[in-house]
Amino acid sequence: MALVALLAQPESDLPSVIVIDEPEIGLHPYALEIIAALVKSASVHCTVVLATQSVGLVNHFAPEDIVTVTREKAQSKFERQNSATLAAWLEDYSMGDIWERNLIGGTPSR
Amino acid sequence: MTRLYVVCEGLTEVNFVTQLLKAHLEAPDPSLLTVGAPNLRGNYTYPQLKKFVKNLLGSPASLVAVTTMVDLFKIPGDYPGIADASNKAPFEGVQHLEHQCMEDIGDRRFFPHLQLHEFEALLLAGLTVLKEQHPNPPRRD
Repeated sequence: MALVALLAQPESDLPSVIVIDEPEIGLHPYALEIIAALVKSASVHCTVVLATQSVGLVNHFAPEDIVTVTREKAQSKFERQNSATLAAWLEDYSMGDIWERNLIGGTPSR
Repeated sequence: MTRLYVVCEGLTEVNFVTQLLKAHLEAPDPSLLTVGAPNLRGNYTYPQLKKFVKNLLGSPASLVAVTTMVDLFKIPGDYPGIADASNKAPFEGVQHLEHQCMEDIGDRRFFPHLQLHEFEALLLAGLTVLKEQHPNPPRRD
């Protein structure tokens, strides 16, 4: 409910940035769909940053919405995804599937 | 920089590739080769495997090589050459299947590998490595 209240604020009350760490915790996949939709509508008026470990949540977003973080040589490498390079994969897989298949990073380095 | 993708059957193979094989293959010159371990995630059909490999190969000009690390006993029934593989000696059967698959995909950057004996069983042949990877095994008294 707190998430819904946060994201569904009127445009005039929204802050310029909202950061949520793992909004998926404790949520049913159906609720996740609602949260994803609210994130998308809030993001028209403000920047929303989500940190997630949920395949289900990632499935609701487009490649351009997703930045994977991979640990590489003691550094974090941030990579924004794009639908052009993933076009062949997107014919068969959702973004969550692609992530789970270890094709875009964002997985433990060991 | 060539990207080598080892198409893995599951997480055990992914861990083997990322934790051991990657370092071993990249060691001579990390600027020449980088190894990735895409995960098939278990049950697959041959057309799915084929598309997976083709997606990884990308355009004919890309600097990519692809191999597979899948168990023989789990290959799908529609794998090319499977009908004549069973009456061959084990290693010949595997070679036959690998060759048929290579012919079918028809790209010189693709080198299929089939694991004759289930990969998980081979882990038990390297107990020192197993101990390194699991320094604190659960005790069963």
